[in-house]
Amino acid sequence: MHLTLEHVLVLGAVLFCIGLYGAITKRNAIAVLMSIEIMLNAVNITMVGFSYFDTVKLYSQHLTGQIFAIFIITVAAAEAAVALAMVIAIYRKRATVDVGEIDMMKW
Amino acid sequence: MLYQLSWTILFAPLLAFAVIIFGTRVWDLRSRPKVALPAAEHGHGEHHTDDHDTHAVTDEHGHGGHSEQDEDDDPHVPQLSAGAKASAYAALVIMALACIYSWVLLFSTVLHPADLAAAGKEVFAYNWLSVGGLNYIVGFHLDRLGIAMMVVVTTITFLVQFYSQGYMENSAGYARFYAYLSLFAFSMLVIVFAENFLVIFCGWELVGLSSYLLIGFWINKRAKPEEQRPSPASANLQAFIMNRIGDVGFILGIMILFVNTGSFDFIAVQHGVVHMDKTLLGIAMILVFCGAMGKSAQFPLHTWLPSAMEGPTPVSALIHAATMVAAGVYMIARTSPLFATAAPFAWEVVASIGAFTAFFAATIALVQSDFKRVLAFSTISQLGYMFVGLGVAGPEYGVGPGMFHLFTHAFFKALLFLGAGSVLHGLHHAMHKEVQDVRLMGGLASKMPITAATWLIAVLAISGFPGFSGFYSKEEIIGLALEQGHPVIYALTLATAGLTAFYMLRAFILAFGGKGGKFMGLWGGPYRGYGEVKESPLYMTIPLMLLVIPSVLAGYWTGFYQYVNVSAENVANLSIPALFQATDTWIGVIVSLVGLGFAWFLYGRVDLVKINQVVQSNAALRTIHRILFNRYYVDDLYNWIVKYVVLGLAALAQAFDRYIVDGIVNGVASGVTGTGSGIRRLETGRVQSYMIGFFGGVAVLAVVFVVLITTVWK
Amino acid sequence: MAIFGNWLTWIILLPVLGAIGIYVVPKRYENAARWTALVFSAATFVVAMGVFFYILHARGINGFGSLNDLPYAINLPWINFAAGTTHFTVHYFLGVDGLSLPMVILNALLTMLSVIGGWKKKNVRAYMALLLLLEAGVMGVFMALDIFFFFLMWEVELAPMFILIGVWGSDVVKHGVPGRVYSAWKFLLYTFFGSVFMLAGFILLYFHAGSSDMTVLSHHLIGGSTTILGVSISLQLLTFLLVFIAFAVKIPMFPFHTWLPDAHTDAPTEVSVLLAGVLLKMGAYGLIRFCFTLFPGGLSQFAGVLAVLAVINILYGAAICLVQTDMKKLIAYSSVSHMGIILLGVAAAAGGGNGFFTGALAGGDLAFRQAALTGATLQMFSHGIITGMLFFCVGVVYDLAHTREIAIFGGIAKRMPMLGTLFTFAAMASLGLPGLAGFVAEYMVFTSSFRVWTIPTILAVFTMILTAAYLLWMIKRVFFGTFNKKWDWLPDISKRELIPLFALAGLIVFVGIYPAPLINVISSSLTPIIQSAVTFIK
Repeated sequence: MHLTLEHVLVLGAVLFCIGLYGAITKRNAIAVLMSIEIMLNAVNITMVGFSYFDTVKLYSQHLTGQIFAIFIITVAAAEAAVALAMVIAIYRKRATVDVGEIDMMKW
Repeated sequence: MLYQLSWTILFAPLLAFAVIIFGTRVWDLRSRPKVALPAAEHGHGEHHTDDHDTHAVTDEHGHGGHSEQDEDDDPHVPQLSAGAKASAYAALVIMALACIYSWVLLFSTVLHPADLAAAGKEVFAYNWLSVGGLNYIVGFHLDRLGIAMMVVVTTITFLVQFYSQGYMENSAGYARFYAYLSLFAFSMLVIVFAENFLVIFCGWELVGLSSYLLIGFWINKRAKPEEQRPSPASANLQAFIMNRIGDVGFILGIMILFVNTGSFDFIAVQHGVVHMDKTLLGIAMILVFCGAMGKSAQFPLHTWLPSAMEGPTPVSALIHAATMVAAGVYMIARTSPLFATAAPFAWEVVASIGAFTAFFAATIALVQSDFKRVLAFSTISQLGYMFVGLGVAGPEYGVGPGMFHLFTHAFFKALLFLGAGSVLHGLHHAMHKEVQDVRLMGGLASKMPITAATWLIAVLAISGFPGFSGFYSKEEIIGLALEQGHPVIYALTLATAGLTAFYMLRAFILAFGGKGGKFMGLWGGPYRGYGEVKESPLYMTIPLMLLVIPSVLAGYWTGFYQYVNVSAENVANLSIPALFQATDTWIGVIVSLVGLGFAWFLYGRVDLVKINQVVQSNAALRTIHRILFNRYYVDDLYNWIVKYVVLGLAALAQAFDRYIVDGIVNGVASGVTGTGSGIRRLETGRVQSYMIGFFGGVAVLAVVFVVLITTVWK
Repeated sequence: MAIFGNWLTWIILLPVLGAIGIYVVPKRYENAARWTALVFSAATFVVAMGVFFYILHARGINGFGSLNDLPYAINLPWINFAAGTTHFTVHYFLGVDGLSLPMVILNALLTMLSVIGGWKKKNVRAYMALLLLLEAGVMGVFMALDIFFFFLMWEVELAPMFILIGVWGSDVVKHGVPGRVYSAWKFLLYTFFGSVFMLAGFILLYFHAGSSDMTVLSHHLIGGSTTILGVSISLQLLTFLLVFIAFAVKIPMFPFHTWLPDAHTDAPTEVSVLLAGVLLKMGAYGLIRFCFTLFPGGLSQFAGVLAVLAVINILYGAAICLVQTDMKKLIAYSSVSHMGIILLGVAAAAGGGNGFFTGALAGGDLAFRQAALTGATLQMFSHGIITGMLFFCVGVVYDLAHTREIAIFGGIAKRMPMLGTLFTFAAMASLGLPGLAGFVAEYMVFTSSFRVWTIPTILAVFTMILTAAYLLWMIKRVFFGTFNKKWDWLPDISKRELIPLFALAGLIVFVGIYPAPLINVISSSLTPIIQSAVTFIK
């Protein structure tokens, strides 16, 4: 049994769904952030998968997918840093990290 | 030249009006001492408004003070200022000149008929506006019919202005009064000089304005419900609106004529209508007659005239007896060629309404106890005669009989009103309050002999006593009704003649005579009021004496019918010998004499109290008396209609506007805001719920896309 | 630059400069602000009159031209935008003719008088500045002859009006907010509601005719038809209806009229004067200038409905007046009634009529149509001056008594004889007394539209009774009859307040007695409109 593009895509999709489920259902902001990281990584896997299994060799020559993945990792790191800083700031102000209670931006 | 310059008569009163309003009246007002405003510190700053609201309730009760009431009823100044007197003199001098000029015109046209063409002469005209080939011209012309009317207007205006120097003594609004009288004279002359329907309609409305201003001359006077008297401010409103009801008919009639002939000019319309459908023309003329009904107070638009008696008495004499109310008759006479062209029912309607009104008003006048109201109903009744005269005369007499009665009536009715004014003036001085009820008079003949004597002559004139002017004009109309084959109209007018004689002599005896007086109670007797009554000053008695002359002699102008004829054919003149030979003349005379005799017999020999007792004790008489006294409840019916039907509909429209039309607008607005405030609840502020929406949306789109790819877009 | 060499530019620019000037004046010099406003509004008036006399001198009283023959105009390219095959141009095109010049003069006059009337307002600087800005916007509406430029000006005028009502209006609570806020929003949104349709109509027109220039458009009337939701409708009617909605709101025509009573009752006096005097006329002006000129076919198809709506306006407005308890609201509804006469005149000029009277006459139907349309245009002018005067009169009472409730007055002419006289005069003018301005237009419209729309006119004439009834009844309850002692302290009208009243009274008398000059000015501009429209009337 070879590793094919389908396998990679299914893995990405499953990871994405796990991440999505976590991001929607978790009350803890840290957990939501972690879930978002999972979704980002699911996308990374998909990107790299496309890049690696590209039979036409149109894009793999340029390693577009892989470069995208590296970009996303970088952005995700920055994002995680900013988001964690915000979570800490919110925790200091409101003494909670429950996203259900952080709804200052409603109507 | 003499005729061409007659436009000066028209504009003379306007000049007087302008001089008074912008000159002498300002002078008058400036020369008055400045009155310090009571509590002048009020009115600055908003906090006072609340104060006023709370005061309102207490103020309602505070009106009781008697001296205050008199002051508001008829404000006086201690002495007339030079400005006020100058106003009167300006008006008098100008009107005297106009009056002399119009008499000159009259004699000149009588003596040299050929000088003024029968069709008349345009004396002043300018292009009001013209658009797309339609010309709206303000044109004034002079013809014999106009001259006859002009003489009446200027003469009586002059006499009334002269008289008012006595009647309006020390009135605070002296200058204003003369300004209004001059404005009225101008407006009336606009009607007289009118060359086309546009101008006559303008004059029509302007006399309405002057009448409105003069009825409401005492602006703050209170209503007297116990005497069934409205306040002047209500009376003039009623007068204006009733006239407007007639005017709607008038303007609709003008419109029908205009759209069929393309012109307003009397002559052009006359030429144009020959091609018109006779029935349509008849309808148009009846609509025009509606205007006359309003102005001349014919049933059912008559109720304003008795109310109009709330104005000063000289005004009642001038406007509401002699001239303005007769404008309807004049206008019908002016348009008579159109009536003659129209289907016959047009004249019949005029005559029938006139006859009915004559009888109807005469019955009401039988029982009125207000001195001026008797005269008001008598005016309505006499105006009815004039319309009968116009309606039944036919082509051989033209407008002569109707106009002749207008001419004679103007003099003796002005005399009656001015005499009544003299009485009221005397009583006001004696009793220090306004008295108009004949039950508070009696026996005044010995105290006011000149007034009484002139009044008696006028009574005989209006009753059609042989030899007096009313005899010639009225008996002719009654006789014509029979001759031209209108038996019902004849019966009504004949009965009215008897009633007229009765109520006029009744009024005379109640005021001037009574049981115990000379000549079986005709002259003098017990006085039922209090205070010392004196004859009025010469300012007031001179016009009375002067008016006696035409009241007697006007009837002897036998060439009148031909003089005022406006149709192309010649008409027959009044023939006095023929009148004396006709049987129906003497029937009329007998009926009148019976009326006079009955009144004399009843009121000269029986106490007023006793008559009342008899009437009140008999159920049938009591009912009739109540119905007549309440004027057939027509006023109450109109009040009811206005209060419940008109204002009800208006309130309905208002509710519709507020709750339906505006309700929809506000409903849409609140619907939009409501929807918005509902939808904004979706914005929870929780990122997770947004994510559900976002990814759920993507998922749904994806499914739809896949389905579409696999089915439709395959 | 050419643009500044034309006086019409200055008619718009002077009030704007005045408004800026007022703001430049330091806050503590309130009197300077007042005088600046007066000087600039007077200058605008002088320029407008100058243009009038220039044309009069150059071309005579009958030479006020029309769209095809503008006596005074300026036309410069402004926006020129080409993208591919789409070419979009807007011109800075101002022009006056006999239809618009009387309105321009009226606007200048009423603004000047309003400045005098509002001399003692609170926060007077901003008030004066906004009055001038309003004047500039309305001037633009009356002079713009490019449909998009017109639309721009139509919207520009809203902003100062919105603020004037919203800030200086009355505080009586309506629907849970202060009346001034409610009414300002109602006015703004209602007008926007109409504007949306007008813009749609203009865009449709532009892409069919390929030009936004009125002179071009009036020569190339759009034709053909289109299908909307399966219903076939002629393009003329469709564009007419779209554009007409904006004007109907502004006129205001039943059932789009309810913003007017609210706006009037809550607006300060001078704003009411301008609202009734010129802003309503924008609707009527647009109806004649745009709808009648560009969509005669659509208008003539719609004329029957318009005649009925006109009668509803006239009678329904008058009936509601009878039961009003607030003087200003009464006059506001009387405006609804009087503006109906304009609608009737337009309907008579454009409609096929009910053909009761077809007899041949000199001039024929055309003469009657032209008289009706001229009468309607004259009514715009006379209603402006008469209602302006009425509102000034009410303003005097209100400023002193702080109430407009009819029932709590009584007999106050005893203390205010001068105001009583002038108020009665204005009421008489409004109810159509001959010799005063209101009569001329009413008489012209009624007598001539009778030939075209007989039954609607018969019904409409009954407004003569109702108008007299509600106005004189109000006068009676306020000024005459038993004197209410509570008002013993009232002083009479002040000299400053007399200025606008006397000016308007003089104008009313002049127009009433000798309307021929004004009619000639108006009539020459309407002839071509009527003639091109008549070809569409079956």
